[in-house]
Amino acid sequence: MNYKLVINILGKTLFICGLLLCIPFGISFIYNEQHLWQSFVYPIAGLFAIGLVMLLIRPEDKTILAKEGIIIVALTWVILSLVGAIPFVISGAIPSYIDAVFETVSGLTTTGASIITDVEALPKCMLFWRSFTHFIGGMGVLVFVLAILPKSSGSMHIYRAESPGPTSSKLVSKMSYTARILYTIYVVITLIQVVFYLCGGMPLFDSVLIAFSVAGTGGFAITNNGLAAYGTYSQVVASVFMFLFSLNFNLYYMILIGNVKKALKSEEFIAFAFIIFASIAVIAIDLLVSCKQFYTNFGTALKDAAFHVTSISSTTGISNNVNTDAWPTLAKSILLFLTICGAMAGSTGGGIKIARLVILFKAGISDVKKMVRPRTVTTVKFEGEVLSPETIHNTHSFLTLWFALVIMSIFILSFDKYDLFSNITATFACIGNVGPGFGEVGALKNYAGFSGISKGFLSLLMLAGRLELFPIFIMFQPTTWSKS
Amino acid sequence: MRLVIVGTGKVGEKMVEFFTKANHNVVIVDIDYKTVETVVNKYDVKGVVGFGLDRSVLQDAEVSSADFFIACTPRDELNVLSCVMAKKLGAAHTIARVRSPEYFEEVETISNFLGVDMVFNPEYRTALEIANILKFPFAYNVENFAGGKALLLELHVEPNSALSGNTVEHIIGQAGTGVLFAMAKRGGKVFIPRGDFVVEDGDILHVIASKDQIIGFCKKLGLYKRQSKNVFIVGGSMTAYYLAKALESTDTQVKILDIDEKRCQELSQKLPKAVILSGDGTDTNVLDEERLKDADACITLTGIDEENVIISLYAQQKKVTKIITKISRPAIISLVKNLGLDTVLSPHAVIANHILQFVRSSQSNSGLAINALYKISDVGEAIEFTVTESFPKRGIPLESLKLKSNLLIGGIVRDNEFILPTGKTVLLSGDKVIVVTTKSDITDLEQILR
Repeated sequence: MNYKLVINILGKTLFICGLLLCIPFGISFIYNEQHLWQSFVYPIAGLFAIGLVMLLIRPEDKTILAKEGIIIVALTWVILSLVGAIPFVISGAIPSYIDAVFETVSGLTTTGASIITDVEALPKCMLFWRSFTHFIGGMGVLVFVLAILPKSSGSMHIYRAESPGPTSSKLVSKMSYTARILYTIYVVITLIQVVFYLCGGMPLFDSVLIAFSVAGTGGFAITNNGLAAYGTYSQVVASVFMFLFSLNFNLYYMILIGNVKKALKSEEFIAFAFIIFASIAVIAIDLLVSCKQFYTNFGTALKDAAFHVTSISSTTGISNNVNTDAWPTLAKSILLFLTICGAMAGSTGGGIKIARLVILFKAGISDVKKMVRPRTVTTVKFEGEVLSPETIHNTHSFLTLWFALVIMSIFILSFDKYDLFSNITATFACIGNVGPGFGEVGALKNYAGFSGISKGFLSLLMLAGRLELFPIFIMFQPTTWSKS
Repeated sequence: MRLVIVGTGKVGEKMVEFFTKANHNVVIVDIDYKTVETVVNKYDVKGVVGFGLDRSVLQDAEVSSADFFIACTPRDELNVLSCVMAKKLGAAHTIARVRSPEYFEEVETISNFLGVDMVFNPEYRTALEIANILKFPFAYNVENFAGGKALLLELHVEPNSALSGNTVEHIIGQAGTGVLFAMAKRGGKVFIPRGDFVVEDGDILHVIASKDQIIGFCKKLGLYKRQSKNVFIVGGSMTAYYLAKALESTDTQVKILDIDEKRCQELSQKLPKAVILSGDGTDTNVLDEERLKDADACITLTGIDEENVIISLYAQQKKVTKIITKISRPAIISLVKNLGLDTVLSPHAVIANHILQFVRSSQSNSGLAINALYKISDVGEAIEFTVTESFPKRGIPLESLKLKSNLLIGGIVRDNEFILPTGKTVLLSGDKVIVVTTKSDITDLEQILR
């Protein structure tokens, strides 16, 4: 491990974290919350001071190897979570540090699982920071660092560890341009979204924060009854944008360079679109048939079905004050399935990712064919390209580790007071970065009732989910930290 | 600038290294998934896995907007064909590698007809380079400017040589004949030496002079070695064939030793003047019997780097005047640096230089394009331009020109005569001027001005 290099790059990252914290600090002046200055000044000063010291350590060898890249990503996320929680504690918005860490991790990983029962009581600057973490975490901190940092060799390892999906490739030949293109697309669609909310009469502050929440596919609301506070129009707009943010950003780039045909032909896109539209249709009908006491007209059923399907499949998990826990079992099963699947690779969403499911499905078929006829030679293709055995193997290991973590989580959570189903859905919702589950962690409830240990483990689970497991496992592997 | 490089073997990777260092946009295409992944991890490039002739692969690599398309897969035909394809898809310039002698002799005609802008042959280039060095065995490396009227020579300062411990001014005074000290390299640092620069053991010096001047200079300082007339080549590779061909016109006695009898048969048919020997070059008995120690020069061109190094070390022990070692793998080049082997040549570096020259000369838009370009110690460059009417500062003494820093006018060739520039020298239309710089951003002559 090249410690000097890791420390140096983490120093740069700390600096950027400090700059990011300046934004909610500025917001506190707009809303006359100067009395909270300590909540920001202390961590900002700390980040700049420590960052500066770390920058003084200059590595002799500046090549980022795979191991260093992954560790840089893992540590950045851990540090950002631990530091990002400090303002909540100092301001008294969330008095317990472990709760504050849970909330920050949930924000950064764009999970949107909350332990706050009364969000409306939070100061505006804290609300802003809470939602802003979604925006930061959505596209990734280090992708942002790559966008502004001068070229360094080995940046591919960092990009690969932070951007979601089984395979990551650059859009253009240079890493910094790729990162800039991704961030530009991200910011522009977010701005368009803000304009749509404003047109619907939503206040500016709320529009921006909801837009952050949807863009990062996080799901923090800023009112106690979620989007229900803003009427149907905003919910429809949110549904559309949640869908847009759950798409692979490569598709937007393809469309931008005029290759619409190729974008629409993407296997992953077709699979994803099919899952979404089929789910919406089935749930809407199910609601009309089995839930007659709430849903009498098709319009409302369709709206709520579309809202929750896009919300869960994009792994946003934002609330519109509809209790999905009371929905019929079929609808709930579909939502649980979507929680596990997640969004497309290369989006801001979480979950296992449709790309992996498609790969697993195809590899499964090919394996079955081989079992029937052992001499058959098969190749597995994805998006028109032959998949290397490594990629398939990697996808299988991902699934294995995913199950291992899920089972571990179910055991750890079982020490708490909740029922098994609630614990299972809480696990899925956290590892998939969705937020709400069912039962005790349903759409209208929150995670406040879990013990400190459970909250700590769920935080780790959310980080593991966002970074796609491997970086977190590698961080806990002792040999990673050896010098040689 | 956007480049697409198809085939990332040793030559391909070397070029990726060059062009990413110069901050260009590079996309690589290779059939092998692993190779692509390795290169993408190492350099800031985009990688596409696929066959170099496949339309969709080339489209993925955005060939249509490429300024340069370079094909260097192991297959000659494929390289030429994919250049044709790339041209059709809209690539501005196409470059193909063609290696085998059977194709290479006629390839110019074919490729001109097909619209391939440049064909390169690493083995052929390397052979020409070796032939050139053999004319000046006292130099580590030699490059030609203005058709050989001006030379750029790389001299390695050996312990107790007449150079070490003296200032540049003193050396020039002692030699009596003019040469220009263009660049010096010490401990990884490359710079333009001034008159008060003290030369030390182990320094690498680059000097510019005419042929007579450098010979006079070296004779005075006791560095001179006669042109090699009796050349012993170990390894009957393609490079050996091209080298023997190039030496045929000079009255040089060439011996080629190769282990493969069939290859020896082939060579003896093609090279009637050369002595072809069949035997194991790594066997010192064979080398002794064939009287390696009487040769002026030993050139190791087998396909195995390690064998080349070992044979060269043996030749060194036998005090052969000039030893040239071909090494292909970059890792081995850096390893043998401290062995004190004489000239070490890497075909990939030679050819990357050649391509760089082509690429840079196509970049100029003012009609003051590059004629020739050589990399000096990977950092500096020596570039030849022709002064034309469009150069605004003609007739002005060099001392009153505002030149960029880290840049030097290294020599002028006027009416086939080499002129060593002084402060009073002026540039005239038709002059060939050699510019030495430690930067790598100059694409036309006007850019030397501040």
